[in-house]
Amino acid sequence: MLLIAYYATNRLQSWSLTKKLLLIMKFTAFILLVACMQVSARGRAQNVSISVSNTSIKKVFQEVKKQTGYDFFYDKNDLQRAGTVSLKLNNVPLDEALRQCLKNQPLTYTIIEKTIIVRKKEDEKNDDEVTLPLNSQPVTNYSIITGHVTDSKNKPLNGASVTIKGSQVMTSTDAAGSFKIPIASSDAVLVVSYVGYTSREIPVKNNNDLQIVLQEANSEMNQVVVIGYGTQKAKDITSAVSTLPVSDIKNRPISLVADAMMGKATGVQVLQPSGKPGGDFTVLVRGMSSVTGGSQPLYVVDGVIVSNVSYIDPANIESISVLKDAAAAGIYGAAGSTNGVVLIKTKQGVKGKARVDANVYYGQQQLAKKLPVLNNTQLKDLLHDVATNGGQPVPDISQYLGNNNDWQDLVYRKAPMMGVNLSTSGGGEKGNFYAGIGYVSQSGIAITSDYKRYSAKLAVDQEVTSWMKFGADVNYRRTVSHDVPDNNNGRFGGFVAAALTAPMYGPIKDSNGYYASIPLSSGILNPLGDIYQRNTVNTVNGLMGNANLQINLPLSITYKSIFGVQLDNMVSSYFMDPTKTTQAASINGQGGYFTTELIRYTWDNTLNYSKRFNDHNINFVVGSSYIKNSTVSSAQEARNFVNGVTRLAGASTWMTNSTSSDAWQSMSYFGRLQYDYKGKYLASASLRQDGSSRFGINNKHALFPAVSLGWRLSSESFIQRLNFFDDLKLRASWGVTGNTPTNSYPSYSQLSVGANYPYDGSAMSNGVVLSNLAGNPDLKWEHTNQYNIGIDLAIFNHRLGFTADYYNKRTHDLIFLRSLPLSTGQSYKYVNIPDAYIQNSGIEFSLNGKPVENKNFTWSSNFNVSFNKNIVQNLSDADIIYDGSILLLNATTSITKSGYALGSFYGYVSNGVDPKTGDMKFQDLDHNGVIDSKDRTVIGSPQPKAYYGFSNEFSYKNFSLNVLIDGVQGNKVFNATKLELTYMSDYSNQSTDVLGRWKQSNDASSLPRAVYGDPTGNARISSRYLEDGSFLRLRNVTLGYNLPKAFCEKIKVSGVSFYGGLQNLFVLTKYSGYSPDLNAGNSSTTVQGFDLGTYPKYKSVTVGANIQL
Amino acid sequence: MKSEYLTKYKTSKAWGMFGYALGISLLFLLGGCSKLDEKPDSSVLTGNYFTNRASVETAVTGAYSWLGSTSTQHYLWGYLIDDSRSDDSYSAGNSKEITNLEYFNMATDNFEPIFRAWSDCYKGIGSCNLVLDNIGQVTDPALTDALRNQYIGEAKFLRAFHYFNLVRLYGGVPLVLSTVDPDINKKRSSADDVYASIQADLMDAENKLPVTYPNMTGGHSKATQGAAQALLAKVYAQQLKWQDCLNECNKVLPGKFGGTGTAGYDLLAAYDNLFDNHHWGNVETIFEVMHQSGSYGTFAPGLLIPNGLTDDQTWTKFIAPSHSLINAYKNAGDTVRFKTNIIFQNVTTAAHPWPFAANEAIPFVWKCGRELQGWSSNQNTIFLRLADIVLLKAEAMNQTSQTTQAVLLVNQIRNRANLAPIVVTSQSDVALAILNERRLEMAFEGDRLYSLIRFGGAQYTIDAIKQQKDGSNNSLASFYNLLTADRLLYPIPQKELDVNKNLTQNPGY
Repeated sequence: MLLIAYYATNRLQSWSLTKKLLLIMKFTAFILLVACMQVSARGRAQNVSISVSNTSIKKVFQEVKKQTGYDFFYDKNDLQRAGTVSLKLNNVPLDEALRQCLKNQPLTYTIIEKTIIVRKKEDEKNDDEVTLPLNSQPVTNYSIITGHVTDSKNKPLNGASVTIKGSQVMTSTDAAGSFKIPIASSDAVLVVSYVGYTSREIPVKNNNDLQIVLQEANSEMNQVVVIGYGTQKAKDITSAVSTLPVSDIKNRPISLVADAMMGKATGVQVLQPSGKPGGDFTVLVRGMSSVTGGSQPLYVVDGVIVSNVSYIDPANIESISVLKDAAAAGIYGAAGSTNGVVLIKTKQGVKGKARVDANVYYGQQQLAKKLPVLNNTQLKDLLHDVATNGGQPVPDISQYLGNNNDWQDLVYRKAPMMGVNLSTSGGGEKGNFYAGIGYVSQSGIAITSDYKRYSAKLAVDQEVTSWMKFGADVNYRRTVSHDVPDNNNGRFGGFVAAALTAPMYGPIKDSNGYYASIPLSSGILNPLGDIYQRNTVNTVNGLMGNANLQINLPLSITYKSIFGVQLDNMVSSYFMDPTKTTQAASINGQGGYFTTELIRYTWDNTLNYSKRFNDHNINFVVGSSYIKNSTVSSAQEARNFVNGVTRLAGASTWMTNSTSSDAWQSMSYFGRLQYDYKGKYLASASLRQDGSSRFGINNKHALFPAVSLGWRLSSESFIQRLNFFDDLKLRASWGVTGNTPTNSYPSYSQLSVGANYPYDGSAMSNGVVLSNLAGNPDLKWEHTNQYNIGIDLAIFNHRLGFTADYYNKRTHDLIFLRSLPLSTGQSYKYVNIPDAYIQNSGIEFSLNGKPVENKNFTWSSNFNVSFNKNIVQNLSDADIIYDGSILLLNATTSITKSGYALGSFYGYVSNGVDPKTGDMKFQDLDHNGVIDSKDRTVIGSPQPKAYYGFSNEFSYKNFSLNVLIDGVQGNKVFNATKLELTYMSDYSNQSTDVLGRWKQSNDASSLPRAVYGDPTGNARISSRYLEDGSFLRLRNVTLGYNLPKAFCEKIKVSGVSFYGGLQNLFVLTKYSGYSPDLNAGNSSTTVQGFDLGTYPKYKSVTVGANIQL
Repeated sequence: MKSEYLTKYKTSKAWGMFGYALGISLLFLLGGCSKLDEKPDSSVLTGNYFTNRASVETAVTGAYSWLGSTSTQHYLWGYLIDDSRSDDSYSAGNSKEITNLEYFNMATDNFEPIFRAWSDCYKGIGSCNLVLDNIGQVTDPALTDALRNQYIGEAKFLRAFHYFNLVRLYGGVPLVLSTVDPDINKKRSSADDVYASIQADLMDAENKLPVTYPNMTGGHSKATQGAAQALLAKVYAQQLKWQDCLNECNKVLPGKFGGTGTAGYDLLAAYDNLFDNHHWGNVETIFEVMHQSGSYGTFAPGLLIPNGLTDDQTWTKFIAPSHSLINAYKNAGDTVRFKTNIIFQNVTTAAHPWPFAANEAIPFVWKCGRELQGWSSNQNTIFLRLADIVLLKAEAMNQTSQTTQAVLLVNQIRNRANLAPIVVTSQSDVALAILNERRLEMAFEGDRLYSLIRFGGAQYTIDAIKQQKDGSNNSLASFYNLLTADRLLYPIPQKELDVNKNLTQNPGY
């Protein structure tokens, strides 16, 4: 099969689109025509015998070819213009035969070696038509050369284009990778290119049979991307999918998957709400779309939907892709896909020599920033003002001034961390394996806190028969962490706030050897007492595995079945040591033991049909997916321990002793059709029907459709002729995803058990009461409609790539935990709010580049920035959610209401300090002359306008340097820690900022007067505590060195590299607290940007080594 | 490639067909196995729960549980801090909620004591309604008529108890008498209608409840006929229906107090024994809430007793006895009840609550629990006791011009406190003497504010509150500038107004 075409480019650019399309169609038809002709170029007789009447010239050419073996080059348009011919030739020479044939036709011909080029006569030339490029050349000088194009694995490349440099002569390869092309001289240079491969220029010289190998372009577009129920080449993707680079994981002290995702992709915001070792991250894909359905994306690991990914040792990750729009996520339809889907592929064995990888690192962390607080002298002065202004006797602290305890220094420490990962993998023709073990140990920067994880993974794949493949993957982990109390109640609970508000004069221990209470300090905890009083250990034993079977059926159909199991045993226990605090001693110790066993199995079955019909490429998937998730929890709590015993066996007074369970299941059917025509016009459509036990009997099921279209302009000739774009694709998609409530039984009216009562004061009697939650049998799915349009392009030989997306995502039928009138005796009911919606809309830009790429030095870089706007609309006032509680004031900071972003800050607008009175002034928004609760308004949004990441990898000879920067812009943080540190209304320690407080009339200060009890409400929730939360963080810098290859060979290893890194070296921010991205609300959608005594973040330095055997 | 595939196809044809069958059947049959039906098994479905006697009993027990569970803050301590609105106690700590309650500076929104009282009373009412809605459908022979009556009586008693608290706190409230009332956005009924409902419930309960229960050694924790009568007496009294009140008092009181009661109630010999946590189930208590350390304890003592007497070093206290109350004990020469109800400590390590002078020993509430027991004390809370009814009868008699007999009753109470009898003067003097006696006897039992209102109406109550002085004898009147007659009622919580558009706010808010 030989495909050759001639192009004329000089006039095309001015053509209208219709003309282009027409041309495309014509040209397509031409290629099809030629493709259908079997051409054999073997030597034949030079004479021809033909007898035809009123036959098309094409047929004549075919006959000539058959007899002579000469190939024909022509434009099918020219042939269409030609009339039919009638000939009767008997054994005439070829030349004569052609002359006879083309007599009276607007055509002429040239023979170059064994190729006959047929073209229009000059005077017939027409602007609209394709002309032969050879008109100015003396045709007799042409010779035909042949060649063969393969990839690096010697696989022929079908459809690679071969152009003669400086001319418009072009051909493409056939299925065997072969081509023929006419050249004018041996100086000619061939340009060989193929989508996804690096183009090459080949001087022809005197070669006649060129063997050309194209290397796969190292570009994103060529990557195989894991998508829902399958894989797809990046170039064919029509939805919004981000592939996250993971190559830096091996050189960074990363213990959790989400950490590896930070700053890596547009539309993916990773929040680390606290600095607690092993602490949970929050991953947001295109903002928060649901209030009650949660904000976390759906995680799919190796095809199995899992409830969390903390079991994964990041070192075992091969790829992470994030399905962002509904067209990509739609095949997962439900169960959180509204929040995007994170697909993780873990490493599997590969064919070839077995390899062993070892990675080890060690590092040290420390508090990134210390907050300055008052010393005893300064505090004494403050206490005087607080008491005097409040009409209180001045507390006398003189007897305690011998103490000078810097609680921050006492609570925080330099903490080591280390990690080891060992893996081995290999494979033969039929099977492969991967085995890895890992150990992470991270001490927290707060005393006693730590996190340890032991993990192991074994994955095998075996071709059982030529048509059946079996695989299994088993992961085990054990994590043990010691927790310290932070968050929640600020100073009344949590060492972080206590370490700031406890006066330095406070003694560490009292005369009984207990951690002392802080004298005169309004309930401030002794931070050490708070930490040592309650020793909490969390242990998780988790087993995650799947078995998968793949059968190749006739007719190009593949059946795949994956059975996945997740088993987590979580134990949280605590012991309040009676030797540590008075409180614990008074009850002779108290302990608790809480367990949760989670078992989840998933069973996914898919049939996949993949077929190429010439230029039509079809992939069709149908399948079903079943999940059953059950948990059983138990809680035991007791006090009065026998001296020295720390387990519940030694306790005598029981407080809690119960078990409970929870289960849900879902069943889904889905189908997806992907189609492309020549990789140029791409379309995909999916439909999923999802059923969940969590909904009312009438509304268990819902349909989730999605469609997407793509157009690879770079495959169009008129773009190719620009010779600028290596890739250019437009994408558009629409789809629907769903979400469920987090509660398993919202549709049932239930009676709660455990409302017991001790009638005789000793034994409890069983009691039931109406549950707080009223059942709603009509509850239905939450729907998110999402539109996406995007563009992908690559230029400069794939050295620069650019992707942009615009999206609009609206969640309807919001599932809301609606407050009922309490007079009904119940509190809440899950309802759908049909009119209200949450919208996230935004644009995303990603730039990938290799600014420098030469033998010794390369620099590759990715910059991504995402803009998202979140807004809640049409929510009635009765459904407003207040959240973010500050116990000190018994007030809330956050509101979710119509017209504003989820979890916006709500309070008074501060107008600074009245220089006369020293009290805060607030805006009287309703102009009624009184500052009251009606003067509260939304004062800011915790959600950033933009977030970005900038990653760079430099390599110079054997050195490499990784730099990762990320940040957010345009969000507000409610600094409740500052509220407690500038309260000046009780006897706690305060920030050194209060040294500049208002003291006397006409003082100009931003801080009000100190006064006991805050009678004028200076501390009320107001814009006074809102700060700009924008930051830019140098998240990671790693310098690496690879031992020279020669040396490695000498010591008989494949490779050794050493690296040293710095994490969180600096944060550029105006924020005055520990860190602008702390959030006491963790992953809550209705409390964000809320800094209230959250475990602060650390900076660290690490060194490590990678060894490959 | 093609030929390779064909080879595969031939060798695997049979398996291939099998694979098809397997694949397709697994794909589509799987759904048939799953009805997506998951029901909770850590709770019970309301619809099919009430089948036997035991199920009704658990719902009755659930109704009691609201009185003292740690999730029910109103009955745990909200009931007590309400006293801070009277002239008996101050807000004593750094709790803005209580300080604002003390000053009648109650914002409608986001003000927890007001929200909690509403919520907890209605949760309790919901539980009572649950019993009353479902008991009729139970045909279990084990549910004898006596038991059926008892359960109905208990539920009605508790429902009346909650509504009595609601109507005193908020005025007229939505009258919800069934869990399946389709009108979830109920309008407020008038206070009179609420009282009428309370009376109807109590009259029915009075007829259905037993006089006593076996095995109540731990305390009088279950509603009895006497409890219904005593509560009804209080309900009548609050409406100033003195003759009805008198009748009900007489049903409770034994002969020695001029009553006809046969349940065996009497005054306990030693006043302190009522509250020392070692004499539960005594003859004087009519209805009390049980606590059990650990799983059903109360943390109220920790909120009231001084740091030096508890293991707790951090909390400032919620309420502190007022100078007015202390002076009342001193003026009466009442050392017995003074000692039981109030304890003084020289507090140096806590911030001084404002009404106390610099070197003044700080008074603490000593009556409501003396053992913190790790914030889970087993101290019971007395809701109804005989002394209350004795004094109520005295009040009713005095109001019905039987002043002489009234004084005899007062003196019986004073006798226990080692106080000299009072002598009959005018009816109004005796009324004042009864009010004062109630104050000394019933301090920190959530009674004072309503006694004042009953005695003298709103303005008298306001004046009494404003007459308070601090430790240096300065007037505290200016702190109560917000206090008007309207503010003697709580506002309807804004949260409730938000979700129930048919509700109206109380005047003055």
